[in-house]
Amino acid sequence: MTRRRETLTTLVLVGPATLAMTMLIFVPVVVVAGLSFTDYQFGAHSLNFVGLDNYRTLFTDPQARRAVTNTLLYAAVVIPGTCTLGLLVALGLHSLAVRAPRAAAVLRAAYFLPVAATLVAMAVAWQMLLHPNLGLVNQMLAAAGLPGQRWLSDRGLVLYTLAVIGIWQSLGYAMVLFLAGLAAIPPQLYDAAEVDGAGEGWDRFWTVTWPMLGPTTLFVLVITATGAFRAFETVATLTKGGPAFASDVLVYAMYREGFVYFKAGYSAAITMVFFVLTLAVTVLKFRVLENRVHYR
Amino acid sequence: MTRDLTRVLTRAFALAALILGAVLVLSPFLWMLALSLKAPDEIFTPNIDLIPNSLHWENYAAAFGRANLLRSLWNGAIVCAGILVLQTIFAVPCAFALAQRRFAGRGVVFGLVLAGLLVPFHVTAIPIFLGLAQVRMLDSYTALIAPFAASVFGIFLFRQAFAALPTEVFEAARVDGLSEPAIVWRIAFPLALPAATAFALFSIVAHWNDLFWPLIATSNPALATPPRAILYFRDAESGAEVGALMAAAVVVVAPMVALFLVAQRRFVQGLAAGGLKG
Amino acid sequence: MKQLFLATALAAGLALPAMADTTIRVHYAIPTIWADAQTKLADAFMAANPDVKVVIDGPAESYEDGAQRILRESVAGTMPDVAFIGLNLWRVVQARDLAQPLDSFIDDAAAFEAEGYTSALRSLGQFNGVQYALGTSASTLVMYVNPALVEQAGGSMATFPTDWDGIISLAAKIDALSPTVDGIWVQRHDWRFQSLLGSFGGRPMTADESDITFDDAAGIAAAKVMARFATEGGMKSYGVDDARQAFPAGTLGIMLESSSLLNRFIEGAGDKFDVTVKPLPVSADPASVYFPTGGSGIVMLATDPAQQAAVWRYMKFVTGADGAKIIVENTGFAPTNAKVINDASYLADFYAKNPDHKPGHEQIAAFAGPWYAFPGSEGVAVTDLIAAALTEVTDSQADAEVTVKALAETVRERLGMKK
Repeated sequence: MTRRRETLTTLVLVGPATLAMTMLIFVPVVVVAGLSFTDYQFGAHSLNFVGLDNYRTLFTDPQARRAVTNTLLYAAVVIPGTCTLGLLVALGLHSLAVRAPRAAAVLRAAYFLPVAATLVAMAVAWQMLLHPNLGLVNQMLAAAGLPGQRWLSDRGLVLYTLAVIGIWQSLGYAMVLFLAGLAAIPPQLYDAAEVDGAGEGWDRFWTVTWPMLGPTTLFVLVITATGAFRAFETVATLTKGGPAFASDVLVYAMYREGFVYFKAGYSAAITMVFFVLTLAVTVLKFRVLENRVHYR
Repeated sequence: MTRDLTRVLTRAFALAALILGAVLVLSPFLWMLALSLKAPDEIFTPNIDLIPNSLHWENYAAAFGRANLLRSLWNGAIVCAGILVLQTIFAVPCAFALAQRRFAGRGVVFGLVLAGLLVPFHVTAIPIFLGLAQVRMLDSYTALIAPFAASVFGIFLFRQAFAALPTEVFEAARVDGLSEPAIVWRIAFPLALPAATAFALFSIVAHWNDLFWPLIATSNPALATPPRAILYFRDAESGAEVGALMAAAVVVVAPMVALFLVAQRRFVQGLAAGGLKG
Repeated sequence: MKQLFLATALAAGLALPAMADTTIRVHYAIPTIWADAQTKLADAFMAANPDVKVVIDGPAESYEDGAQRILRESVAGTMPDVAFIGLNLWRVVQARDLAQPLDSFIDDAAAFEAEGYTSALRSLGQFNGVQYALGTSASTLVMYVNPALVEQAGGSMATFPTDWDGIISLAAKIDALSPTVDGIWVQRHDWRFQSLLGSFGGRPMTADESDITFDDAAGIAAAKVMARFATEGGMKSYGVDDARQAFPAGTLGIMLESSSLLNRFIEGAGDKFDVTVKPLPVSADPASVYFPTGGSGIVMLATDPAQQAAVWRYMKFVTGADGAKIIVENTGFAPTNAKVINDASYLADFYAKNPDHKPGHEQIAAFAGPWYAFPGSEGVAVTDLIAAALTEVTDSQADAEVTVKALAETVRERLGMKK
């Protein structure tokens, strides 16, 4: 009787969310997977099964390969950048909050602002700041005697420019999560550490803060990683994958093929490849790191 | 003595770095603010002037007058509140069960959550759109709110928060005869308030700024959400109206800043509460 | 007596609403330019046609978004009755049988033409001899010139060069003025390429769309002009937003851009300089020259005959002389109705106040041609390939002839044209 009751309670707790997830996420994914084997054009009256044709095109197309490498490169810059800077800022603001709470509050808001702003407007601001002749960035570089760059139109540079903007955008996110994690560390631990002689700066960080931040760090890494792989808006608003596909990333390619070119079947195939790739990377990361994380 | 000096210097250096970083991070916003007050011929000039020559309030008048900004702010509030409530109701119990209860299939559900994190909304958008079309629910507040009910991010966040709580508290409550849902909402949820605040913040900000789904799901101008008002002034064909666009953007981001300033007090409270508990 | 009066009044009161209002839903894009025009068009139409109510849907941000939305709405069953759609995009809608043929509504061909729908203008919305769309606004590629920079470089507007050699050498002199000033710029884009191609008398495809023809002498000449912009004229490789900022800021001397940018450029330039518009040089026999027309057209999406009748009345109003006048005055686009162009009484005031619009409008009137959309499911995709190839030519100094020929082969393959 208790067993049945237990199961029922679990169902009540977990059921609605699982049902919602299935209907809103996984069923659509299955639909998309099915579409990847067809030549469906959005708005068309009929579709044909084409088997693995879409995938064959995908694997032999240099554009598609570039989208994959670009996504990986972008993620390789954004993930460590965001997490490191987010952590540093959180640590700094956390200790500042004790001494000067008002200042810390203002600075926290400043770092969070990029997360809060509508990207379509920020894109216009960024484009002007990065203008080769008229933009603030190049004018300041010129004042310092350094050559200005074509940040958004140099095909070798554009992806890295977008990555820096990506860090700018998600830094505040990581900061907030780290702050929440830091706030949850019981101060008794610090007192105990001080008694043990590890009371200052670096020691304090290594013996108390870093281990206790374990779950938070893992969380931030996973969230930042999934966000970086799913990078879309910056590309869509600033470069549309250009110039000449130099800043093309997987989700944008998927969007372009499906929504701009109306090739829904091909777009679905890109989506499937995207999932496999990011699932593999994320599972790997989670496996490797979760073992190292201490839970209470 | 040297130790104190080192400490003071490190603190000063850290503060300077934080402030410099903040200025860098804020620079696009300062630019945006400046642009929102400039007249068109001042916007397109080779000089970098952070301060406008004269305050061109017409940009703000245009944003409110032509792009129906107030209405879209109101819609944004309704939609974000609706989504947050729905997400919390679905995510919190599930997260609690995943963190503090043992049951068959726990790994599967958590695996679904992790997998769900990888799915960008753009992928599921078309099937959801078609589904809503079938039941004729497009172009409504429901269409704007319902698709976001399953927040895997929320489940993940709350699960991590609940996992860090001591099991004894819940065992005691069960012994006391409290029902599981009561434990979830009356005991666990209040203990995870910093996480809940963070989640509320992220959810509201994300959906306030969401352009993609409202653009697909609605065409009735009365349902326009805040980014739509900004988008009114964008035009790839004949050039955007930069000043008015920035003015609309400033107005749209203001509530989010206010929200953050209010919400961050919770973080400080969390810290203080921790101190008192000791 | 009183009862009779009351009965009549009651009957009249009941009858008025029973003069059933038809409601038509209108879709349009780009509110920042079109919102005023749309409201005025709707008001003017409803004033002249009290039995039809016009409801305007929330606008799409761009023509591309608009086309996507129409497709989505067709799948969801919520399509509007009539839509303003990009002139290169109505084929997308027609290919899915959503655009209704209009020939049955055009009773008298001669009378129709007399109202300003010349064969050139009608061609903008025809496919396979069937009329699907009517033009509502037009734009063409023109040269925007900064007279201040021209004069600084030693040239003069009175003797502004009229051939590419002259223009390029002028651009080189402007570029030499200062490291932050650039001579000339054009976007590496399908429509810009087609415009240059047309100025040399070329066409992108054969008339039956079975083969690519832009790898002929005209196409290579067009690509070579772009290459020379980069090597001699000082064309930098920035993006279109950067260029649209640079020109009104006064750091770009000559910009080849759509005539639809004129109002924004004038606003942005302010007192700094006097924005001047020059038509593109024509380098071939005028009879074979054509410029692809950008802009919008209007298509009928309704399928119910009663709705269609109301929609047709609306379409005729909007594309007629009165509608065209409202559109030109409120958007600055060129008209697509010959009556409005030829009969000075319509737009005399407008041209008096805005003389810089004339060159673009005249170029359209003389040389308008359809903006070719490449056929088939890869049609939109190949336009990005063209842009990428042009970027190779201008940024990496790839050989123009080799690149154009390679591009043509790639496009043929993509479109399934290879035998």
